[in-house]
This record gives sequence, structure tokens and C-alpha cells, in this order.
Amino acid sequence: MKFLRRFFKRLSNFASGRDADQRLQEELAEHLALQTEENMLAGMSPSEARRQAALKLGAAQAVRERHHAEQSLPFIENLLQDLRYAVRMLVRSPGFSLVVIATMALGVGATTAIYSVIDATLLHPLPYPHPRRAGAR
Amino acid sequence: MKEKPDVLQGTLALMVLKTLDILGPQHGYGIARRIEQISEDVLAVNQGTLYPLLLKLEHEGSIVSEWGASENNRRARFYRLTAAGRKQLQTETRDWEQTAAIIARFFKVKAEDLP
Repeated sequence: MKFLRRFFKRLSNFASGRDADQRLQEELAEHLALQTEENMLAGMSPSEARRQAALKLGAAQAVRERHHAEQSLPFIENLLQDLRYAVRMLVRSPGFSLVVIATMALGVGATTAIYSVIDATLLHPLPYPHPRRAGAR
Repeated sequence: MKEKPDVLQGTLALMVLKTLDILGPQHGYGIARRIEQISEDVLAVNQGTLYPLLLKLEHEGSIVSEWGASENNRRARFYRLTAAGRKQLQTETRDWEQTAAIIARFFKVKAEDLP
């Protein structure tokens, strides 16, 4: 239930492109400001207080990435990105794309055709005692 | 020097819920500060990791957040426990106590106690 709720929330965020980065930035800025004030009350110089506050917060970029990953669905995001990239590369060199696609189509087609014959003749012969003589009188 | 233990997966969420339960609506910094105080600085919580977790809890419907004014009248995002969050806290508290009790029994037992 909890999991489903979270999933749909993220799906809707993903579909509508709703981003929480602005909000996170603001929260982190406020967090740093409060921690800096507290450090200064504890007797640090302003620059040292800011430095210690940033250290305590940790890597801001990593936090942003994780926050974004939670906001949306990174798996689908990456998938779409890869698909777009693939299509772009195919369109960029149509000749090469055509050759590759034709090769693969022929390869798959030939393999399937040969296997169909093998399947019908060797693996599943007709259910009579002498299938080879089926047409003979 | 002994290293400070990292927070066990999943326990940080429980700490956040409990903190909000006791103290009412809090902003991110307030929550981080309380967790630090209550654990008496034994835990090394990388404060930044709190924010993705808060978003996750919000997506799960355990907490809600809204903008408000912080102590010094700046804009801050306040997090509040929902009814579902309170229920989740109760069940998780019970589970946690049960696990701890079982482990404690294993630690207490001696060879001669066993038949």
C-alpha cells in the first residue's frame, strides 16, 4: 500500500515533470544558515562556522541527486534518455542503420525459416508409422 | 579512534517519525538537530541524507510538508506527521521492540541454562 502510493506519486511527478529541486535548494540554504548561526553562537568565526556547517551537511550534489531520484522514476528516465539517444544515432547515419537492420532482419528470418523446417520434419514428424510414405498407395 | 556507527538502514526513518511525533511540526534542520541530541552525538548522521528520506516518507504518505516561518522568520519547509504516519510509527515501534527483545534473550542465555 505504502509502496504503491509512493510509486504513483513518483509516476505522476515523472509524467508532469514536477521537480522538487528548487524546494530542496531552499531547504538546504535554510539548513546551512541555521547551522551556521548555531556554530557562531558556539564561538566560531563566521567563515569557520559556515565551513563546519557545510561539512556537516555533506556532499550537496549527492544529496540533490538522491533527492531527484526519489522525486521521480530514475529507471524510466534513463530508459527514455537511452531510447532517444539510440533513435538520434540511427537517424544520423541512415545508410548504416539500413544495412544493420536488413542484416538482422535477414538473419532472424533465415534462422526462423530453417528451424521451422527442422521442427516440422525432424522433431515433430507426422503421427503415422511411415510418414515418408504418406502420399504413396 | 573508534568510528561512529552509521545509521542502520531503515532506522533513520523511524527516528524521524518518532521525533515528529514527540515535537510536532519541524523543519529539516530541527529534525537533524534533535536526532543528534537524542543520540548524544554517537550517531554520525550526514545531515544532507535526511532530505531524500523526508521526501520518501512524504511520498509514502507518512508525513506532509508545507512552507512556514522558521524561528528567525525565514521561509522553511515544515514536516508534520499524518494519521497514517502515526499508525506506521506504532507498528514499527512494536516490531522493533520485539526484535530487540528476542536478540536480548539470545545474549542473556548461557550454556548451562540449556537443557
